[in-house]
Order: sequence, then structure tokens, then C-alpha cells
Amino acid sequence: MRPGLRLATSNVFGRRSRTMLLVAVVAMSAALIAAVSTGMASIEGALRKRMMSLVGSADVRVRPIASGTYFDTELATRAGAWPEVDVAIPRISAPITLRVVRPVWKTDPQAGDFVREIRSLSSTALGNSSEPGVERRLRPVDLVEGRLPEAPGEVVVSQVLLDRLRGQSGVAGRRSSRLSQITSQIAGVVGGATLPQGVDPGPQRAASADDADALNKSYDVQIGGTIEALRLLAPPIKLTIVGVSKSELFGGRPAAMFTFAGLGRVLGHSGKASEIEIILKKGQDAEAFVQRHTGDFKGWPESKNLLFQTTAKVTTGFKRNLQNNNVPLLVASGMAFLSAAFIIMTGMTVNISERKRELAVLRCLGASRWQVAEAQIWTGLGIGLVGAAIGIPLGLAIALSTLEYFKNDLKIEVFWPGWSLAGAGAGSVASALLGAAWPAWRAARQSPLEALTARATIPGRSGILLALLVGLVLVAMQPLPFFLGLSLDATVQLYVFAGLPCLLIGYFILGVPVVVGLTRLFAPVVGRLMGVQPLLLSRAIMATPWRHGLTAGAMMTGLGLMVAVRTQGRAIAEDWLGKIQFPEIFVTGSNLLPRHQRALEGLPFVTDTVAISLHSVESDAMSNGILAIDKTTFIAFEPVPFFKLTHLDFEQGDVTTATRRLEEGGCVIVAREFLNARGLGIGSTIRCGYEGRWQNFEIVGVVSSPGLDLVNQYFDLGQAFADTAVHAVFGSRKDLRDKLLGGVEPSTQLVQVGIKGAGTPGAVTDDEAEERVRAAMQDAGILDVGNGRKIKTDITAVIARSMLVTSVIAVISMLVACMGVANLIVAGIDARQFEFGVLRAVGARRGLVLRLVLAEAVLIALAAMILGTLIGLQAVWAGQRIDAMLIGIRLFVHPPWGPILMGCGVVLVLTVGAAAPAVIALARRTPRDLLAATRG
Amino acid sequence: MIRCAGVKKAYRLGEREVTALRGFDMEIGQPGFYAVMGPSGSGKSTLLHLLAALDKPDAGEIIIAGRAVHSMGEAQATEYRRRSIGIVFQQFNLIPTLSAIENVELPGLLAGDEPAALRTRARELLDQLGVGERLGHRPDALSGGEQQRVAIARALMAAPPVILADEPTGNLDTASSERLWGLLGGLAHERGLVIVMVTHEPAAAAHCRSAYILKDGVLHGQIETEGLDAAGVASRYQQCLR
Repeated sequence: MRPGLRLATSNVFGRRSRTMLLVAVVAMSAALIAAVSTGMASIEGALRKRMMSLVGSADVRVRPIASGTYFDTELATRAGAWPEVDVAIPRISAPITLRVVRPVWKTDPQAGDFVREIRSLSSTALGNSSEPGVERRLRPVDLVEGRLPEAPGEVVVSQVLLDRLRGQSGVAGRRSSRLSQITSQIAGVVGGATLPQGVDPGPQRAASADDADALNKSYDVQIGGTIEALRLLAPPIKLTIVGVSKSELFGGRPAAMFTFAGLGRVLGHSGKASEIEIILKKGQDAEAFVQRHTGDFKGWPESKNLLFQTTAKVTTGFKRNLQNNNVPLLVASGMAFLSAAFIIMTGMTVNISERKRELAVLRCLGASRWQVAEAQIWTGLGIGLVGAAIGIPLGLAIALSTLEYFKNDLKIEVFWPGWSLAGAGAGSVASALLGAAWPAWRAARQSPLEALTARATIPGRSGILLALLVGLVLVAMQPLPFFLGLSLDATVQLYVFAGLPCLLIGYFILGVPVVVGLTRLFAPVVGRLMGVQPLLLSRAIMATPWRHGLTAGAMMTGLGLMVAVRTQGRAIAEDWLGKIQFPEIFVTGSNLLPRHQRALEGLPFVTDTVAISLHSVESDAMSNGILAIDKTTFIAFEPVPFFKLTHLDFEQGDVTTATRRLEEGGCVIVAREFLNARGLGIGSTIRCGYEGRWQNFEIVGVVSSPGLDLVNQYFDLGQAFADTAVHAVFGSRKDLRDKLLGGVEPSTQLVQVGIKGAGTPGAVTDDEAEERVRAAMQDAGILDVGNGRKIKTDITAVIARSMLVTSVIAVISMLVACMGVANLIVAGIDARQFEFGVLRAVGARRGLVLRLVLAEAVLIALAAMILGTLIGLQAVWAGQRIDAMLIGIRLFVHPPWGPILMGCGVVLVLTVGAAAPAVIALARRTPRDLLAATRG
Repeated sequence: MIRCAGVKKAYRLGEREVTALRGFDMEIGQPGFYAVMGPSGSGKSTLLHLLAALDKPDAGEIIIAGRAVHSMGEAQATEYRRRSIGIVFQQFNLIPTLSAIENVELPGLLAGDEPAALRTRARELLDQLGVGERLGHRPDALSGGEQQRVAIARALMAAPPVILADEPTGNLDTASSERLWGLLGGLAHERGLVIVMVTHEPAAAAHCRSAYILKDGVLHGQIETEGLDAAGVASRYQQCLR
């Protein structure tokens, strides 16, 4: 065995508890990274799977420009005749409403038994066609039980749809995700419905609870059972459930699968398709194929209303965004491992300091500098490997449990992030080796003679001043990228890869002068509060300021994260979300028709309605490489009724002029993010394009967001997440139709509903209005009914939950740092045993010695509180600048002092708590034991 | 075997410069047990550090077993400490995380010697020094005398011609000290070693062949101590200092 390895082994096993503390640091860092990366990989995997379910494995597709419209299936035959085509399949995808009417036995308190009631449960869902044979190659379906539909009257329901029809809304009572909340609202329970013909209603009464349970269970919706598809102005169609599919992942809506003919019959569009999916023969290039046949396609009479494009065009932006999403994980992992490296470095350097004499003896016995250094490297390597071996499985277990716990809400399967886990392992080892590098150098540099003379030396002031200077310079480098006048991409990358690391390292190093400064200022106060002579306390810290300072730096990272998250969360809630005015009530669908509007206007509490089209277009206004945003939502409406119903806040312009100019055409109103991010305001021109048709639009107003674009994404209208757009422009339907869609009438995806104000005769609350609109429209082929206040509440809940998750991560970071604190305190006690023995020998009580050690921990905690708060606020400031540059959201730093103080309290408790075990062990030792510590 | 000529050494202590040796001369030509004595601050420990190549003299020559110790580079000095000398410290300085036998094997381990041979030799040495029953014990389970004998075994591991001992009985009781001096004297005689012991105790020097007296950084004299008792050594020592 190499001498260096042998020395490392004896050191590691000889000081097991200290080694385990350092291993725990690495393990927890690795666990954190593994858990977060598994979570992110699972979300990414779910998004990819959803994307695949949307586009399937088709190479090319034909679909309408206006969503929710249909065309003849004969077009699929024409496309199939092209020589490069393997198969061309017509497909339908459209919202439907399904209902089950069944008997339910419930308690009759007067009779003391259980009485039968006929109930109806309904739910909207996305109906998809799936033909046996080829199409199932395109989109493989995961079945939980049963089989796929083979005939028109058969249906496969997704798991979540089945739950809705059974009256269950995810985990009982919990509405923790926006979709579970929405679809549970949709599952209305209406008494007094009629059982379908031929269905046995069962006994009128049940004698006992067991009988009632058995009866209820027997009538549960299940395979072989009958449900109905509702149709407007037509009798419902009976369907037999033949299978249950796995639910759509991550935000997908309830779904039902039919044969092509079956869904066509339900929708009343037999022989029509909403899409053609084309699989090319092997070796064919999709882009070249589209270019070759664009002429043929344009020769079809129907082509004016249709798009002919590769599916890659749909997925490219999405894939780019997913790739870019990995950057924050990379940065966060780097920061976590850098922190771990600092903690390990501090711990191992402490270890070197207390083993000075031992290392000197080794040098006296003939150990070379390299052998002494090598022992540290091997120790670091061992800590890294063992830490990774423990931490990665632990992290996976945490991720699995979390995903399992939130399974019903998030609907995410676990995807294993192979590369990320390998990265977590490599990062663990690298951080431990990095942490061991400085101690190795120190150990090798140590003169055996100096160590043998055992003279106490006070660290020079120059080192602390140098730390102050270097720390301040590094911290000042963090905001530098924003002032260099670089391009947006260069600024963000320079900030992420240089600015952020400088910030972290700078504050770590600043821990040393901060601890020194705090000791000078507050040692008298802390000493008095804890009953310790200030001189003893200040000398204890001043003897090893680097140890104490770097440990404070380690404690700061968790608090810094918490401060950043809470401050940013508050800013998003107040500066952004708080200023959005969502529409009160609205109805969404893929193609809402004038009859939908008339039905709504017929309701007694409705004052106005306005039809709104939302169409994803390309724009040159906000594009950047970082977020791959080159899409904007064009929100189109008739200006006069829109402005009558919607009251927008104009930052530039006014409603009268805007209305007139929009009616004239060639103009748009933009959201204020355009002004914030790009300085685009009244008089500026932006270009919008759709399928190669580009137009200039003059900006005639700048408004705060009416929330319509958020509604668009929230309800996933028109596959919005595939055409990710962060911002919106507002224009007339005429301009959208004539200038961008080539004369194709755009579909209406949203009808905004105005309701009578409170106090007006016939007025209702927005919740009641939502329920009544839902009841009135549920069989009208709509997708959903929305309530602006509830959306805001939902988004706020999502933000709060994200902050909670991140706060948990922050606390875990603090726990990681606690290992460093514990290691420092133990090392300090070990090194100062004789000193403590002398104190006891000259009359100090046991309590004084213990309070002295705890007082040091308090000063470390104070330093960590200051550093953590400052680093958090500085990081938020920079983050908000990036938000403004990338997406134009203007946020301000208003620190939430309550949560910050709470976080500081957590730091204090954890720091003192980390010192407690060592202090308790010290309390048990007699003065004689302490004095004898110099021997051997 | 040991020759020092005109050795000078000064070092900084805080803001002052302290001259420890001012042109020290010494010659030891035969194996034996020798003492280096002198008042506090006379340069005894500095001399030992220079002989052990832990430090370099500012001037002069130090030749030990034919090697010019005064001009060794880092690598040569490391090799010299591994093979050519053994060091016994006042505070035993055993590695606390290693057992007795592992501490003894340490120099050989650092030299990359064959483990089985190391183990055999270490066992023999510990048996010879009377701690053969305590091979697997760590230092905190050994008495002071036992620890010091383990330290001596470690110093003998590479069979060096020269052993340097810096107040080896400073932490031992009288009886243990007497036993240890006798042991060191016996080793020097049996193995033909030169053992140089820094001490301020006349009783220690009484076990030696002769004692070199340092005062103010120079060799003040040499007294023959063989056959003298502690009182006799003390008397001659005082005379020499005058």
C-alpha cells in the first residue's frame, strides 16, 4: 500500500466521527443534487412524453390554421398517394363532454337506512381518435387495464377521467394543482337525472352501510360500464368503456380515446378530420419532402385554411427550451458543490492545524512533502467517494418519495437522469478533492521545525485585510456583466458562469473579516449575554479567524438561498401578479362559435361578451437565444366590444386612440414587458409573422397585462406549450385574419363574459356565475369555464409551493453546513483541551467553558446571518435585472423581513445546535483529562 | 562519525533576532552514548535540529556518517532522516491513530520497504525493548515509559548509525528515566551506535561516555562522565561552566 494511502487510512479511521461529518457534508450535497436533478429530469421527461403524445412520431402533419376546424378525410388519401409517404392517417382531437348517470345510496337520517338517489356526473375531456393498426405505431398508448377501442361505440378513458366520473378529484379534498382543481370543478353533480334505458336501478333502499357500500361499488364506473357523450341539440351517445389508459403526464387534461368513426359520430363530424399525420418512408428527409410537395399542397382548394409542416418545426423551440432549462440546474449544482468544497476545505484544514505536531513527526521520520500531501488527497478522495455512494441513492429515494407523494397532483413518472447522477457523483468527488487541495498544500508546506517548537502565533492582520479586499473585489464583480454593454446572451452567460461563482466565493472569503469585525464589535455584548468574559471570547476567535470565518461562510449559503427565494417570490406576487387584471369569467374552447356567445348572453346575470382569438405568431420583438422565445401570442378581438368589457391600464396611449387605430388596421397594442425589455413603445414598429407571412405593425398603446396570455397558457389552448410564447400583442381580428392568416377566419378560443356588478339587481358572485355558466354550457363543446380570481389564487398557490420547496432545499443546505460547524467546534475543542484544562484548574466553572464554546457558535451564526442576507439580496437584484432583460418583467427588491428574520433564527438554532453534541462531550471531561491532553 | 565545525545559527523570535549558535565545534569519533548539556537558551535544541537536518546552519559544516548534512537539499534531507538517523523526542510523539507496532513500522513504511520484513523487524525491536506484549495497543493505552520505548524502537527501525534524543526522559518519573538511560547506553554499546542525548539532568549524563557543554552558543567544554554518579557529573558540569 502506498505510504500516503496508509497514512490517510489511519487518519480517517482513527478519527471516525470527524471523518463521518465531512462525509455527511458531501453525501447531503450529492443527495440534494440527485434529488433535484431527478425531479427536473422527471418533469422534463413528462413534458417530452406529452410533446410526443401531441405530435406522435409522425414526420409531417397537415392541420388547420384555425384551431377547432375540420376538413375532409379525402385529403389523407391525396397525401398518401405521394411516393415518399409510408402512411397518411386522418385524426381528430377535440373537446367533448362525457357523463355518467348512476344510482347512489346515501344515508337517510329519518329512516335510519340508506336511500337511493339518481345522480349524474360529467366531465369535459379531450377526445382523441386512434385507429387500430398503423396509428397505434404513431402514438403508443399505455393501458392500465382493458383494451383499445375497436368499434365506434367503444371508448378508453384516462385514469384521471375515470376518477372524475367516479366523483373523485385526485387525492381526496386536495386541489393542489391547477388542472386537478379545474377538472374537479367540471365534474358537476346534478341530481334528478335519468338512468339510461336498460340499466337496472337497484333497490330503493339499503338496510346497512355494508349493503350501501356494496351497491355503490357495483355501480362504479368501470370497464364494461356505460357512459354518455353529450351533444348540443342532439341526444347523447352511449359508449362502452373497454379500457383505462394512464393519465396524461404533467398537466395533461383528462382524455378519452375512440375509433376515428366513433369520435366523428360524437362530434357530428363523420368523415372529417382535424389533422393528418404523415409517416415518411425510411430514409426520407421531412424538410425536403415538405419543400418538394408544397406546390402540390397549395394546389388543393382546402390548402388556404391548412398548414403543411414538419413536426420538427413544432418541437424545435420546445427542445431548445428544455436544453436551456438544464443551465439553472448546472449552475445550482456547481454552487452546491462549491459550497461543499469550502466546507470540506475548512474541515480538513482544521484537521491539519490540530495535527501539526503529528505531521512534523512524520516529516522528522522521513516523510516527504509529497507523501504528507498525498495523504490529504487520498482522504479527500475517500470522503468524496463514500459521500457520493451514500448521497446519490439517498437523493434518489427523496425524489422518489416526493414524486410518489405528489403523484396524483403532478402526474409525473420517474425519469432517471443518468448524466445528472453521474455528474452528482463526479461533483462529489471533485468537491472533496478541491476541498482537500488546500489542506494538502498546507500540510506539505509545513516546516517540521516550526511545528515542533509549539509556539502560539496570532494570525497577522495583513491576511485578514487581504481577505477583505479580495472578498469585496469578487463580490463587486458579480454585477459587472450588466454594465459592460454586451449582448443579452453574452451578459447572461458571463453572469451565470463568472458573476455568480465570484459572488459565492467572495462572500465566503468575506466571512473572515466579518467574523473579525463582529467579534470586535459584539464580543462584549455576546459575552455579557452568555456570562463569558469578552476577552476570552474575542481571543478564542481571533486565534483562528479563518476557521471561524469560512464556517460562517458555509452557514450563509442556505440562508442566502432562502432570502433570495422569498424576496423574489414577494416581488413576483406584488410587482407582477398583483398588477394583472384577469377577466372575471370566461369560457374556453378550441373553436367557440357565435351560438356559444348567444347562449351566454341569454343568461340573466351576463351583461356583455366578447370573442377573443389567441394565435401564436412569430415576432422579432423579444427573441433571444437564452429562452428560445421567438413566439408571441396575437390576441385578436373586435376593438369596440373588447374595450367596453376590458379595462386596461395604459402606460402609453389611451383607449380612444387605440380603439380607433386598431379599427383602422396595421396597429397593435403591446404588453408593458415590450417597453421594459426592448424600449418598444408608441410609434415603434414590430414585425409579426405566421408561416412566412410577415407584417409590420405600429404600436399604438402600451398596457399592463390583462392576463389573457396567461389564461392562454394556463388552459393550454391550442397546444400553447409547444408554441411557447411569453408575451402578447393585442390587435384586431381583421388584422390577424387578413395580414397573418392569409384570409382564414381565426377560431375563437376564449369568450370573455361580463357580469352584473355587486348590488345590481340580478347580480351574482363570480363563483356562482362560474357554476351557472358551466351548467349552461357543459354540453356545448366547450373546454372549460374560468374564474379570474381563482386563477390568481392558483398561481399564488403555485408560487407559494415553489417557495416552500426551495425553502426546504435551503434548510437542507443549512443542515449540510451544520456538519462543517460541528466539525469546527469539535476540532477547536480538541485543539484547546489543555487551555480548557488550565481554565478549569485556575477556577473557571464547567459552565463557563461550555458557554465560551457556545458563544463562539453564536458569533459564527451572527456572521452567517449578515452574509446570508446580503448575498441573497444581491443575488435577487441581479436576478431581477436578468428578468427585465430576458422577459421584460420589472420587479423590485422588497425584502420580506419577517421570513428573513425567521431564517436568521433558523441559522442561529442550527449553528448552536450543531455545537451542542461537542459541548456536551466537553462537559463530561474532568480538568485532569483536559490537562493530560498534551501527553503522547 | 559526527563532526561540527564553526556552526552558526540565528533565528527570528517575533521582532528580535536570536543567535543560538555562534561557531559551534564538536567531534564524536567513536560509537557511544553522549550527552549535550547547557543552561536554558544555550542552543542545545537548535544543535539537535541541525544535526537532524530539520534546519540548515547559517554557516559552518556538519558531517554525519560521512554525509554533509549542512548542505542537503529537501529530498536529500528527507532521505537522510529516513535512513541515516533516528530521532527520539521528549514528548514521545507517537502517531495517536496507529498502534505501537504500526508506529515502529512507520519509517520503513515511508521508505516503501516490504511490509512483511517491516513487521518482523518491528516485532523483534519491541520484544528487545520489553514492550513485546503491547504491540497492538494505541499510544493512549501505554504508560509513559512504554511509549518512550516504542519511540526508541521506531528510531532504531532503519538501523541508523546515529540516534538523536531530545530530553527523552523529560516526561518520565525517576525510575523510568533511569531504566531508559540504561537502555540507551546498552544500545549504544551493543549496536555500535552514536547516541547523542540533549539533557539538563546530571543523572542522565552519568550514564553517558562524555558530555559536551554548551554555553552562549559555543562549545564551552567536554567532561568525561563515564563512571561518575549524578553528583559527580553535576560538580564537573558546574566547574566547566565557571
